[in-house]
Amino acid sequence: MTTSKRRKPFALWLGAALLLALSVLAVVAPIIWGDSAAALSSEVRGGPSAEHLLGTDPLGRDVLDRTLVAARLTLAMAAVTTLIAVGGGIVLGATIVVAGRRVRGLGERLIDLMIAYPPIIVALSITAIFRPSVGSVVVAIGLAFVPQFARLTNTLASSVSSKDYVVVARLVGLRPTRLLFRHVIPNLAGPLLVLTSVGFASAIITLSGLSFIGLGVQEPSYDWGRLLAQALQDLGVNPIEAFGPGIAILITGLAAGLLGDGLNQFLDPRGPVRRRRRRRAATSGGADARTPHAALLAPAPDAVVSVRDLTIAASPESVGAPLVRGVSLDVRAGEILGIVGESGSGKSLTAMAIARLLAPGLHWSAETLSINGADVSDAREQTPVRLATDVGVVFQDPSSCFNPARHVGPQITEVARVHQGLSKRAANELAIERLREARVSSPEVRMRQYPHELSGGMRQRAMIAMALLTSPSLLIADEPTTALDVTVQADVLQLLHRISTTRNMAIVLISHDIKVVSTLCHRVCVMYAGRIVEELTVEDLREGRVCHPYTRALLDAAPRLEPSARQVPLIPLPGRPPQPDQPIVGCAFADRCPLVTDRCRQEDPALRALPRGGVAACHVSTGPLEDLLVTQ
Amino acid sequence: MSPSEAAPVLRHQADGFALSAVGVSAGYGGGRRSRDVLHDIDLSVPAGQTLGIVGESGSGKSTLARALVGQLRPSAGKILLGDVEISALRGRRLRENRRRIQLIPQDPYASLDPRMTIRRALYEAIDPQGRRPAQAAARISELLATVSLDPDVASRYPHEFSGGQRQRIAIARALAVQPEVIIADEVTSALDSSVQAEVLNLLRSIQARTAITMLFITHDLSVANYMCDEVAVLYLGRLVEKGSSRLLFSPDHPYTRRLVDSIPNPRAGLSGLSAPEITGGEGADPANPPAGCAFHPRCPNGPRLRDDRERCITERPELLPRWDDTGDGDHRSAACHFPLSEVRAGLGD
Ligand SMILES: Nc1ncnc2c1ncn2[C@@H]1O[C@H](COP(=O)(O)OP(=O)(O)O)[C@@H](O)[C@H]1O
Ligand code: SF4
Ligand code: SF4
Ligand SMILES: [Mg+2]
Repeated sequence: MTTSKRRKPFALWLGAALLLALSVLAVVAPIIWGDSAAALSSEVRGGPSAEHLLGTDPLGRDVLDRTLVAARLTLAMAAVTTLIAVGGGIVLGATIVVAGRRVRGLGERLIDLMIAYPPIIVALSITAIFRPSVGSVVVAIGLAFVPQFARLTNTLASSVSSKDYVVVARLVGLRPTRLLFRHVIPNLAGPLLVLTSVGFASAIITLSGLSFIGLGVQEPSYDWGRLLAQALQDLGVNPIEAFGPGIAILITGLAAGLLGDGLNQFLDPRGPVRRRRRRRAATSGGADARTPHAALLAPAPDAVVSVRDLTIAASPESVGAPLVRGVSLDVRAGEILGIVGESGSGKSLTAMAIARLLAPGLHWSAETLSINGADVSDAREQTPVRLATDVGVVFQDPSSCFNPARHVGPQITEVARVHQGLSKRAANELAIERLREARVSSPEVRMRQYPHELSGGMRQRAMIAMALLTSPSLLIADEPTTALDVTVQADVLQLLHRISTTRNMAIVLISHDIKVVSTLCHRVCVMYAGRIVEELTVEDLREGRVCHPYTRALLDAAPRLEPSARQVPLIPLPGRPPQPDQPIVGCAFADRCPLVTDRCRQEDPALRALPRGGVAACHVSTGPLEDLLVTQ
Repeated sequence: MSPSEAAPVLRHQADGFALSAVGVSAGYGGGRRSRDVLHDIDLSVPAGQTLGIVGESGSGKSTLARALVGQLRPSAGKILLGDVEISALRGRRLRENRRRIQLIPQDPYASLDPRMTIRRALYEAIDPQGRRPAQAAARISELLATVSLDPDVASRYPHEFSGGQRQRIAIARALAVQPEVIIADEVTSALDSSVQAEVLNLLRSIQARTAITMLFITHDLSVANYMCDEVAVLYLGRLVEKGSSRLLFSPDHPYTRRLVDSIPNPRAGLSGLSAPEITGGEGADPANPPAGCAFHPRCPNGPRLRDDRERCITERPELLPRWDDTGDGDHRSAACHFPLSEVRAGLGD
């Protein structure tokens, strides 16, 4: 486990320091500069000078001094206003949440009604009714903002209350008030702090606004708003006069925002943590094991895709082993190659490297990476057009791949219009044909629908249609059925099979589910910790003739729909795969392997042909492993 | 209570059921806008056994779970837990009885309060009144050991754990309450298949040891087959078939058949997968299901493909006890006008 220590965010420090400085200023400024701020001089509406850094006002008073002195009144008023607004809002909002269903409905409607009036209008009406004064303006603005804060508290609290952990705590038998204080409020604290700081900033601005139009602070008192109002009258003559109060308002708002944000980060246990960096191990595993694997595969001139020695790392000097270590594979036309392994084993990275869709931060290299015989491994060679039309990709989550704000049709036809220069009409006809091929019902209608109007299975089929649009020679399907229902999954698997036979297309199917790959694929690569640890035909996989202990473990952990399955306990895989920041020494599977020997911990096994048949990366296995339990 | 109202309670108790739903309907949205997505559910779980609830997403599995634990008030029917009708309780009495049935939710990333250490979460489950009994610390270590976690992890926060570990913590918390019934809602569907086996075995061993009653919700029939004594199949908010889990190997309802045939079967390869679905039937709304048999737009034996099945559109099939042709002597029932066993026996045509 990584040791972690909470770190106080920089924003928190800065915000707290600024606000502290402002508070100190508010206390001491009137004492120190009170007299000089009131002193009149003959220099009326003067520009900046050594004596008056920020100039003087129409009565010749020093603007800098007056700005400093006004801090006390301004900040005090803003603080009280925020207290009224936020305090009132939280109490009202939380009361409505814990109250019974009736009160809740009524309260929510009341807030809706109150919120319909803009706070500034409410504040104006209240101050107009009472006489404008410091007290009335503070109360007026505070009250005017209560409904907004009540609404926000209410929304936040209801969203937290519907969280699974609150539901479970209720089942445990917690009383409603305890539930509120223990689970709801703590999880609200963060957002509410941010809210408070926003409230503080808007209180300052609204207060200044009211003073500005003469409804707030009255002569001879003055706050930043009044100073600003005065300065704006003189703007044509002496623009520097506005600078002091303006910048003061800005800094205060900023400080409040930083503090709120910083506190929110700090209070969250999931917040930024400092991980103790591990030293890079002297021997980084995998490097020597690469070449034998590549040599094992005979060159395949007829392959649609050919990969040799693909290595992907987070960055050249990153700690830990590379994310993908020396992967080599071929896929021929009409062949479905399966890649199976736990999440994090490098399946998607491998596929994305083939499609040249790796995230920008990743570094990769390969001895060969060719598609249809054309080398695409040279990172400098720009072949995005060919790739966009040669490789189709289908992702796990179709909803995240479509832009929710656009119709499905134009998104499907985009590639054809942009890269192949098809007319809109021709592209549409092509898209409808592909949708029909992907068994999407009423394709013409779907083209004009938004993604959310399609069911999950329908969206996945639309994505397959999109991937097929340019008749690519390779289709990469990355967990295409993981998010789908079993019934829809069966249909999508059938569809992929049909596409592979009718189009004689090469398909790479990635899945964490060994049952899925063994149902659909012709050949299967098993990946573990960034390497291919076994490569086998689907017949061998179906018959259980597997050679690597990891493949065996995947099979033994998967439940089967067979009458006897209940009596045969599944064998779980102990432990977890190595984490990305961990260096790998020896066989990456050693910590979880029932056959582990001393040699395994020192030497990374190369992928090799085993004496009794099969291809696996294991020191111990000599061929198909029947049942690990028996072997032990 | 009138005699007719008391009858289901008595039958439920006499037959040794730990949990029963009698004619339960439930839905979302209050007042006049409310829409039922569960319709007229009848089911009983014998004490100490596991009942599987299977069906596609949106079929109402989670809604049923929420109704059974009292999170959602049924719009009709009653829920019986041991000796009480829990759906009739309110306030304090409800709170006291709630502890007898616990839920393990689907998403291990949402079911633990991110701001609470594992220790506090377990404390709370052991004693929600917060009196911190002296034995609590020992009990927490014991619970963590039960789910194969090191007692040292108690001081950690949920984000420090993997999905499989979180799910084990969620199980430990449910056990901490010492309930009579546990409802596990798709507890392994968010996990890697290699971690899934571990959680399934854990639940099985707990059940073998404590004879707790379990309701196991899943969309994966191979998991249901591994875990459950009995299964009930939900389609668009209605039960379409239920009985011993052996029925999965000779289902009577075409929908159950469709689910079974959708499970990838490596031994059979692609030929084992069901023929692609008749398109056009997907995305039906459980609050507004098709008339007659709700499955009729998708049914391979139904009116879309056969002219003589008008009845499937006009008349809703009831869930009726079926003759079991497997020779196991199992009880089972199905809601279909043309059950597959009769088709198999040549009686249906
Ligand atoms: N909180 C909710 N509000 C409104 N409708 C809901 C809510 N939760 C679920 N539903 C609807 O109820 C139906 C059944 O959902 P659910 O019980 O979650 O099914 P399952 O668990 O079988 O996937 C679906 O149509 C779903 O959209
Ligand atoms: S090399 Fe050793 S540790 Fe690795 S899989 Fe083979 S037996 Fe297990
Ligand atoms: S009642 Fe008719 S439509 Fe419904 S499942 Fe049976 S045969 Fe199919
Ligand atoms: Mg669900």
